[in-house]
Amino acid sequence: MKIIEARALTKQYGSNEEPISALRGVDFSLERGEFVAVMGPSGCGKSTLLHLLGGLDRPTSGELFFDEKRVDGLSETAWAILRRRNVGYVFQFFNLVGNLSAADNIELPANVAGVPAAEARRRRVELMEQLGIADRANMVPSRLSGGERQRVAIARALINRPAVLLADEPTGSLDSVAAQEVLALIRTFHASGQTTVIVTHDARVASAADRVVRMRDGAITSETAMSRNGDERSRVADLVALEL
Amino acid sequence: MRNALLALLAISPAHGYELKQAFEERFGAAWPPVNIGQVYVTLQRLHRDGLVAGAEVEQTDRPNKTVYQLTPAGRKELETWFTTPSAVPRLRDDFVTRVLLAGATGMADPLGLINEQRTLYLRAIRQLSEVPFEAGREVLSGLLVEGATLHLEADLKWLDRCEELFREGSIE
Repeated sequence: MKIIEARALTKQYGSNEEPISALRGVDFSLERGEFVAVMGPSGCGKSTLLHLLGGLDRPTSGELFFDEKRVDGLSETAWAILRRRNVGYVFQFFNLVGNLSAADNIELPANVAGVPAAEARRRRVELMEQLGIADRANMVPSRLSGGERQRVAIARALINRPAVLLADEPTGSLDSVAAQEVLALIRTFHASGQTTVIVTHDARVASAADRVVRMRDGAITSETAMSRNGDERSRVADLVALEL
Repeated sequence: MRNALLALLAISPAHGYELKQAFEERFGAAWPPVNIGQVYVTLQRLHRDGLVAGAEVEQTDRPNKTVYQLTPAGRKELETWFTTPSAVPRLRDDFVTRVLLAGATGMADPLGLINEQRTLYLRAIRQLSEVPFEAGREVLSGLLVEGATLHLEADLKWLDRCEELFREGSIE
């Protein structure tokens, strides 16, 4: 079943006399439980698309359906409620609140959504354990490493059990070890059913997706299912093919 | 195989089967199983070239076996091997020639070729990320998988560059 469907989405910035097109008619759909990676050169419109899918911005034209309900014409208030309940967002640069502890950052969206405090705490503790940051609960973001901050941001994005997790370059500001740890966690959540869309330059992140969408100049240029090749070689020796 | 066998003989003299075992112990994660026939053929060539010397050892219930050891010429050869840097990796020319000739012959779309190649590389990265490591061989396996993945990432970036040049018409 489709959780998100976009038809002929366009987005223009700037004045009416000199509009800049960020999206030029994008059709995109996302199945429940699916993990899609969106790739493409800088300025191709991939972040704009993610913003529109998550209701952080509105399309100039086109139709957007969330859980089969039309949402592109919703008011700001209605969008705020939809986002709170259904969308978890992870940013490249974490966007954590600097003077709140990791625990308070994670619980914040649950508090805003009216989740009882005890339940919010229970979910937060569970997420921090899953993400391997249980011992960081009382630290403010500035005391955490980049990888830890991103794990806090992922916990915050998941605290309200959103229908979709949207992530914009989640490994883009991390070193390679932290990036691989974050990717492993995203794969784990996806394996347990989390619907996920990730905008990324990182081929390793994209290779973990079910489907890779490529964009260019505000349009989708190709889509690739990442299902297996039928090539079932499963030994390191065969895959790396060193020459003697 | 040739230089690797010489190096194993520099560690200690051995007969053919011992070399096969020593080889697999060190490189089991990296190489497919070694063919014993290939070990014997290589040893014969090394012997012919004066790089190893063989000594017959009598066995009571089996045919005699030959224990090989490095000769001074073999050691010199090995020193040269260790002190010569390995060749710089080069672009795989099959794809390069195909993509350059696809448009020119009108028989295929270069952008289509680039996309197919990209898919292949992404799937290869996926496969590398899922391959199980044999117990006791995690470190070498991880190192090799990382190397193969980094190469594929570079190849993907290069495909992006190719696509830009085709799209802007700098190459046809």
